[in-house]
Amino acid sequence: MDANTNNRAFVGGCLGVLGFFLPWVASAFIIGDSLFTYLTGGVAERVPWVELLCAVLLLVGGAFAIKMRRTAATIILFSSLVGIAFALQAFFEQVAFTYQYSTGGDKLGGFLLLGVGFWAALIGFIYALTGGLKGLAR
Amino acid sequence: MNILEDMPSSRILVLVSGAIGVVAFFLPWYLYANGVSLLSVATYTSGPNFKEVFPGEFLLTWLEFVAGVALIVSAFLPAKKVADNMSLIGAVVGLLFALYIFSTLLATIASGATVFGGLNVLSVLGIGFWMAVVGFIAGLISTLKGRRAAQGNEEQVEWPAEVVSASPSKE
Repeated sequence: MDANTNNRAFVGGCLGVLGFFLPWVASAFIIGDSLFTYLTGGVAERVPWVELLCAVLLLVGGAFAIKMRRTAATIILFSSLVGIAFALQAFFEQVAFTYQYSTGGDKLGGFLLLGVGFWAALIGFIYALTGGLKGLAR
Repeated sequence: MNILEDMPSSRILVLVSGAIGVVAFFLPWYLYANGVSLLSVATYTSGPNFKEVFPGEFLLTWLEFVAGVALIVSAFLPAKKVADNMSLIGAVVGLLFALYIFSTLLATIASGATVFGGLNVLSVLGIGFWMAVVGFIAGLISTLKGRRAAQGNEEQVEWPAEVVSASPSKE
């Protein structure tokens, strides 16, 4: 495979790990909350460790991609799909929260408050998913 | 590990989606306190009245777990038609369960709100719900793709033998 799948899983995993430490909720003039601050701050219901686990699994899948093609693709597909589900949860939570409490005109503008960590992780997981699907197709 | 190396692609996707469905059972579906998982609802004995959050029967929550297990088992079944039907039923039941949770939450939490006002329900849905949605949709797509590919192969196998023997170009 599969240097291509290997590369995509590594890039996706690195973006996922990076996204864990970068802000997921953006705010003007102050640094937003990252998943790391959620984890250390005891925000348990959002299970922030799931995102980091998915990113690490992508790196593991990428490492196995050349020797064990389908096993690696299975790991990559699992972790990227779970990562995308995690991002979906964060997205809808933020959009719905803004919709509920915004008193301004743009009640659907909650996605603008999503931070760089969210976008890095989302792009990484989607990129890794394409790599996993390519690995299966060969 | 060798089992995975010999497994067809569509079966691997079914296996992955089933695993996601099973893991989702243990993670929060509802963002309340430390998060309410389906396991905590199914094994509820005392504490906050989760029945207000999940008004359906408590036993029904196991349906999601069973749907995930059905997908995993179907990935390993040798009989292809049985496996296809089993994974199709598992994916549909899993998606219907997620829809059921969403609609009951909409009716419970957002009661009295307008249809778009019900959007605030999305802010209390946890990772378990979204994993189930993503996992069972992936399972449904891979099952349908696998069935279509199998039908295509059957047609290809059946056609040429008859067509080739009766074909004028071969005579």
